[in-house]
Amino acid sequence: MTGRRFRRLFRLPLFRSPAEDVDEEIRFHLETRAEEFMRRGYGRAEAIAEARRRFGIRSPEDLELIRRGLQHSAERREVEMRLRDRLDSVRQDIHYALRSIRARPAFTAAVVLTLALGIGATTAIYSVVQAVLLEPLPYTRPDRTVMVWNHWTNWPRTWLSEPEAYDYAQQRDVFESFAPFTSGSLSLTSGAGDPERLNVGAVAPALFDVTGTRALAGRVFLASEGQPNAPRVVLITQALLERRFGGDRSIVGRTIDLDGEAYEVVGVLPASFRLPLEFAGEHAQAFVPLTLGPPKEDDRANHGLNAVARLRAGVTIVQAQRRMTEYIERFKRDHENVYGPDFGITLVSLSDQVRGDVRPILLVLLLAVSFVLLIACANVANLVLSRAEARQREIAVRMALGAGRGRIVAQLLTENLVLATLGGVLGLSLAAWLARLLSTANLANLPRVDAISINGGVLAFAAGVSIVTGLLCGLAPVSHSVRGHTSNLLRQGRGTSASRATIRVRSMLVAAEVMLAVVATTGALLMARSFARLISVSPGFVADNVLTFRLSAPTTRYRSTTRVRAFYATLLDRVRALPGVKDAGGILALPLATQLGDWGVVIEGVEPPPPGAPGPAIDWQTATPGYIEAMNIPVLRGRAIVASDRRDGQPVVVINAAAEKTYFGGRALGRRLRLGGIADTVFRTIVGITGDVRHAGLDRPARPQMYIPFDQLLWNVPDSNGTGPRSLTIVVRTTGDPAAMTTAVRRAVRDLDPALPLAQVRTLDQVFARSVSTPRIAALLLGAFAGLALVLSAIGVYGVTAYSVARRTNEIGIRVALGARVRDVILLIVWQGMRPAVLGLIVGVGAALAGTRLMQKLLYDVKPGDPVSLIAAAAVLLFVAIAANWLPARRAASVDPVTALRAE
Amino acid sequence: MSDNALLKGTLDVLVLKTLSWGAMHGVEITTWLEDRSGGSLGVDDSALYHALHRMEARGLVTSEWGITENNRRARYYRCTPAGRAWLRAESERLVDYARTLTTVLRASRRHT
Repeated sequence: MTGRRFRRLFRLPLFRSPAEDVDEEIRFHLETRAEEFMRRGYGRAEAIAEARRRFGIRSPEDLELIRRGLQHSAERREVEMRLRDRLDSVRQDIHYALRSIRARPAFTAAVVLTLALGIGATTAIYSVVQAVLLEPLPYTRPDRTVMVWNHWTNWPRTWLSEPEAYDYAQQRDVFESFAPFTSGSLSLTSGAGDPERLNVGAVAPALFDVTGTRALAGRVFLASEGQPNAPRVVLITQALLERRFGGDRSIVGRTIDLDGEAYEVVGVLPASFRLPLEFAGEHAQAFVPLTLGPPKEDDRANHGLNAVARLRAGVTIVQAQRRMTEYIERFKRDHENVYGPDFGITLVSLSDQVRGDVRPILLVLLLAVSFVLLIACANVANLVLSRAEARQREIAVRMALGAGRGRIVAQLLTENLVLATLGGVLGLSLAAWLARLLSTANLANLPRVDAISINGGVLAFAAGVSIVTGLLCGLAPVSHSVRGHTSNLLRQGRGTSASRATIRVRSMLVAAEVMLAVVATTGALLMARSFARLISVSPGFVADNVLTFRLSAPTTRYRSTTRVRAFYATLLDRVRALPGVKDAGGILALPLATQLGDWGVVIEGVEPPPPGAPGPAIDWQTATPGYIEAMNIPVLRGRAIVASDRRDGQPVVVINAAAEKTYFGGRALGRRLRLGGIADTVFRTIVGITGDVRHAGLDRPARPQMYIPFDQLLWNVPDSNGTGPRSLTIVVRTTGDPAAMTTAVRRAVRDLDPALPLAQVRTLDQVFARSVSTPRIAALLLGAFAGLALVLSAIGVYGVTAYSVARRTNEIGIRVALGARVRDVILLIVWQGMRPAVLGLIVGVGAALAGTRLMQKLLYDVKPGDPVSLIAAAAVLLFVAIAANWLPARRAASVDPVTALRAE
Repeated sequence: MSDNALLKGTLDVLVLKTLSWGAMHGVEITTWLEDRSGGSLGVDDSALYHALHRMEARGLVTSEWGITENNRRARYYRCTPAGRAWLRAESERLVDYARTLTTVLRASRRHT
């Protein structure tokens, strides 16, 4: 140690190279040896020759060779020694850090736990952000993949019709490949287990060109399989293969039964394959080709397809959108009587489509959790600062003994890094637990939930956060520690050395903590208030005590529409007859769980708009008798759908209040309307007005809506044809627990048709909860983070006041001895402790006003600057800060003045 | 090299042994070794410096420039605690080795 120090001091100012050292040493050796030989009686020349010979110089060139060799080994020595020096000091620092960490278990536990909370929570949220927002979507070229939507004024992104899909696909200068698709469900009766209602995607064969997906076994669809009258083929996912067919890939080439028809399995797709719209929630597990024939002009207004496309290489999405907009203008001129001026086409990048909706909420969560981390950091910095102060003399002594500033800084930072690493490791396990919790939570609207994991990226993030945290927590205390004048510090007594600078740093840390906590609390309160308002919105029906499930009558056994209708009528009669059932009915699309489309209508006595111009259009539903009653949707005037609303009765329709208000001036009862198109041209009498149902979500206003009796739909189409809806969601209102009715209802279905599977069996309460799962989890998480922020900042405030009080025991003792009242002393201490907190509070309210604007998109019926939330957050923080100051103040004031005066 | 050429690696032990008596410069080490080995070590003096560099790189010795009795600048070498430990272990190994070798050589002579 001393040797190294000496050598370094000696060499640095002289800037001698190892080579020069070697030269000098050789010269010294040869001369000294020669002198020695001369002392032994050699002549001068012989002595020199002997010294050279002994050194190894036997020919004139030897000296140079030896010199080079020694210089080389000397240089290698330098390199290795420098490396060893460095390793030594790192080892020493870590050793020292571990020793001082072990020596103070309470301090260590406080720091490590605080950091673990901050790092753990941040890493958990990051793991979600990475899976949901950052990882590329699992298509070959996600950057060039776009969703293609139609838009009208009230429908910013809506379906395409078959002729449109056909026309758009021809735009080869924009789209390299273009694939319409849709999804539905089919009953699977093959394989292990009961018959099962399966989500099935119907996709154009080109879809797999767009996504770049290959089959694990077999092949994907051939182009010819998208033509009408092609043989029935199906692709199944690996997950379905394992679940129902024992994972046996020899299934390729065999057939399975879907809705009673045999489909040949031509390939197995990876379990992770998803249609572009199915990254969140349920997803298709089998795929059949979407067969598109030559476009029929009659179908132009029949919209029901989605489309995904891959842009041609080199075409940006902006260029593509411009070219398609130009194209649509020409296209509209060609189809003047179909499309109005508000019709257009919208390309949405795959990433925006899948992640656009959840991006704001995740970013707000990430921001909130990083506030928690920063507050944790500030607390740790405070702790480390106290530690550093206690060690001021130790550090001063070491500096006086010659330890360089750099060495001391390196050592203190190493200590912080070791603490941060411990916190990071603990935090990572916390994060793993939280991430698992989040990925299994029922988050219907969060895409890519299955991809959430603690992987390399997340580990790297946690490591990075730990290191940055360690440095951040250490920098202020460390720079403070080595700044002071060594001699001053040595002269000072123990416990009096806290400088004004330290107090200022601590106060600033407290102010920053309070500020962050105010913002976090305001955000959480906003979200909570928004969520409370959201779930207090009436959906328009009563959700409790209703069981729902979906059924579909396959064409094989229910060829005609008459048979389908008879089946549902019989089933509903039997279900209604079950004990504990109040009412039951069927609906095409269950609210809060599905999308509705609108249907253009002609209102009797109202001149229809010219062709192409937008006319009245109403979202349409078809319902059986009993549905409106089972849902407890209020009938405001007239009546609901009844059993006599059949083909042999009067054609009728029931509309909601929004439709009445929008199109009938509030007086619709008895008036008549006719549906557009050719399938249902009869004038229907409006026989009832119901309350509005928020079909698309609690946060969306109700739209005009109509209920067409299920037995009367498609008036013009002969019943024998069998087209028309075959799938209905059955809703059953029960007197008791609806889930308890499941067995009885299942038996009723099986008695009627044993091969018919029930799908999506859930209570209406579950459907309701699912529809608000994202805002709920956001409110919960923001609440949890705000709670953490509050607790941590309370600890911070408490810690600083307790510390300053402990240092002022002496002064307090004097005050009390001189007759100050305990209450005055408490007030004085609390007031001094409150100053930074109040500063943080004021800045925090300003920051919250600005910062919560980011939450605009997440809030329902609450404004980001909501005064209630702001005032409540400020009040909570004020209370917490006063409490955190009052505790140490009371303790200090109650100290016996004699003891206090004796305190050093 | 002469007949009593040193075994490979033995030089390091001898140099360290020398330095265990105190800091010395290269010439002092050379003459100290020569005095105790009865004349020449059988290696060139320059080999000594290679050994010193090697051991300094391994942290067995340290060096510093100092002043000789005759007021000349010379580089002094010193054994480190690590060097001492290594010397102890290595000498034991060599002594053991020598003992084994001696036993084996004597035994074989008795049997011939």
